[in-house]
Amino acid sequence: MKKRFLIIAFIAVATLTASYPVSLLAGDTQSEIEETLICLCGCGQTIKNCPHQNCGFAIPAKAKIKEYLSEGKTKDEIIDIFVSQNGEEVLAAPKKEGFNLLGYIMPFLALFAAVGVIVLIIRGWTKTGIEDEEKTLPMAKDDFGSDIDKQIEKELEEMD
Amino acid sequence: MLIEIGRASLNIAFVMAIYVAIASVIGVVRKDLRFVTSARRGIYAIFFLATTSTGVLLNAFLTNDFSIKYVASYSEKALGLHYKIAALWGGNDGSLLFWIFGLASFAALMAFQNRKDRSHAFIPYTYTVIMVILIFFLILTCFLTNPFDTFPPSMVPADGRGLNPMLQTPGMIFHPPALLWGYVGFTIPFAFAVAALLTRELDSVWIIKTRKWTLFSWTLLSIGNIMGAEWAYDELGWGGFWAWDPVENASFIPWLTATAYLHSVMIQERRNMLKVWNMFLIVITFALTIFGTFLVRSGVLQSVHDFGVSEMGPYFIVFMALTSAIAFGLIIYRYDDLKSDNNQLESFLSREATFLLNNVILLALAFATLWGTVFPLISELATGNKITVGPPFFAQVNTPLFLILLIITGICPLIGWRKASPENLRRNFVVPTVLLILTAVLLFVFKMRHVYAILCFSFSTFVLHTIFMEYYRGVKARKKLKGEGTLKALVNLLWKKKRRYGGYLIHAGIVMVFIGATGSSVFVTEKAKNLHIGETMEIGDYKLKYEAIRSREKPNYEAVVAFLSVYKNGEKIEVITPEKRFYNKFQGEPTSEVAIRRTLKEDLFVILAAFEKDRTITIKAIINPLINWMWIGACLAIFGGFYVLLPDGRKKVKA
Repeated sequence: MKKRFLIIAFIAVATLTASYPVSLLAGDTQSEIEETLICLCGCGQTIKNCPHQNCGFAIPAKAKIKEYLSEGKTKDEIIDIFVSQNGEEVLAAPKKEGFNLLGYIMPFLALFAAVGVIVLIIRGWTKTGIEDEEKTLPMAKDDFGSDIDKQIEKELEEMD
Repeated sequence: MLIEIGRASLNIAFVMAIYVAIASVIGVVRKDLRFVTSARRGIYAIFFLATTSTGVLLNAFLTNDFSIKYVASYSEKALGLHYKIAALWGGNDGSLLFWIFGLASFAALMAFQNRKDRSHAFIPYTYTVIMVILIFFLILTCFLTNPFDTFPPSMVPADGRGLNPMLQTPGMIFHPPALLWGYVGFTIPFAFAVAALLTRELDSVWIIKTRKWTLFSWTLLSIGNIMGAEWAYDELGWGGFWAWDPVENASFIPWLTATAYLHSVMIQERRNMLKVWNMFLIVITFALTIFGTFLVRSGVLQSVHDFGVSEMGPYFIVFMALTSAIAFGLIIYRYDDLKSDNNQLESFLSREATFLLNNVILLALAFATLWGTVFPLISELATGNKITVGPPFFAQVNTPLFLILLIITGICPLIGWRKASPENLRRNFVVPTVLLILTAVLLFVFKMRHVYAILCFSFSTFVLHTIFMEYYRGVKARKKLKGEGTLKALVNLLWKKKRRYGGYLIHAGIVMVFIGATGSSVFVTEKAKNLHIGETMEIGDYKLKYEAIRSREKPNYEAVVAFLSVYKNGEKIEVITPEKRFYNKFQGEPTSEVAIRRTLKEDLFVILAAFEKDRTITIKAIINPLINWMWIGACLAIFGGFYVLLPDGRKKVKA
């Protein structure tokens, strides 16, 4: 019972953390927008990080973002303009909608499935069953012991 | 003449590899050692031929032999000597030759190591598997992308096109070879695994024989990855170290699966369990190394690192599919033999179970990274729309997985093999958990509000404490048992239990990498400003004063250098010189050479973004907190890897 609770808790924590928005940025809105958009020059980096000094896409895009911001446009409005001009490809990460939602969910589905399989396998391998887990077997006392120092001493003796 | 020798060496190596593959099998089938011995000598010959071929190409670079198309494409007369050497693997053809050289070297070493082993039939089969893989690469090199292709005499250029400026950095001398040879190294354990499956010798012998090969390859791959990150940080000039680029991901994914294998194999050695799982992991790791090699050459995904579109993609796909299908087919065929009679766990609360969880998280990370890398292709197939999966996606998906992995690194050593009682757990977990909570509270009190950063730093405290306690208890036990002083006890502990305590060095290094990566990703500060001579800009505790701008000429480039004085607390501490380089052969692609002031607390990263004729410059300055802990941690982990590779310090007991 306690194990099931732990598994559910693990899944809940993982789900919550997965939905936590991660921002790798500490800069201003200009910087945030540049990180949200991918450079289409072929470098595969964001507009902000494009390594090409005379990039035909990133440099004009940065200037445009600056211009839009000075006009009072919001981050979402600016991103929408870029998407309407260049397609969804310009977004550094796909929107969490439609088929692309699968992109975000799949790794966690796979993880939960794998954890589930592992739990089932371990349950199958545990000789004494989950209910007996909390009882300490004599072998366990010898192996891990009530005192970890004894275990290390034992291993060191074996070693020498 | 030399070119002909280089080309002929490759062709002979190709024929020889076919001979070795066949002779090894005949040797086993007929139980005739002469064939096996002949095959082994054939491997030595292939090593000699591959070395000759590589040497000829290297010589062509060093002597500016532009009659060779490959040399003309990646070198020039004015290129520095060290970059001429690095240009050898700077393009597709040369890097494949370098792969062949690596595999031939490893095969020869492996054959030499096992030259006296006549009791295991899988050794000759190992030769065969390695040769089949070598034959594939030799086919590509001899018939598709021969690095010795030449221009007709009338069309030989006077000078080469030069090496891509972004590759003209010291990191490029070490990063690609480490990565390529890390990939190549996993061929050896893969070959042993397949050979063990073929011969049904499925005990732990092949695992023990490949233990050091696996760790060696893992260490090389670690060096390759971290040097790639360092290259990105220094050379690309954007202040970051990892952009989740497809090619970066392609080298990170096999590193993850190999890390999982290195852990799970311990359970097979100790408990004779997880045989199927370990087979799966080594096969998937090898397949992923081929996938990485494919990705950098296929042109299917855009990357700053790739070699551009080539015709080799389908060949790699077919080869990867075939080798994986055969290996997985063998695992299924031998499933009954692989199933361990000893698959018994006393409890969920055992080190075995936490190792399995560690494996699951590492594989989940590998899957998430692979999934994100190929998802643009999947999405385009499904919806017809082109999308991009970049850093924000990976930050969202991978960060929680990294954090779980981090905390498991600390939990594992606290739980004993077989079964731990609740009393043991309470005893071992109380102090590190209190430290974890204390760290989190302190960070919150000191106004840190980034949840993932708080989790990372507090989990790191937990893990570092458990590692420290492992050393402390070991030293204490030695002092008590052997009467040694603290330092001697520590040295002996490290020397006599390299795998265990060297492993903890790796863990400590990885924790530092986590700390550095988090600090520099989450708390980065950035500022850009146009400056006239004499003007200043401030960032963090630093003030930068623009003193002068000058140009300087080198044989193959011209540089514009800005001189900026760095002040901290009103005191001038350094003059830094960010520059912009204009390579003669790549005029349209100026590169930024950043100036970095490194301290353990943070890096001051200064880029000369632009300059005008009136000497106005645009400076972009970045403060990257804690980033040097990442490099230090990586060095420690790599040192730990090599340390574990050292010969066993234990005295051998005579039977």
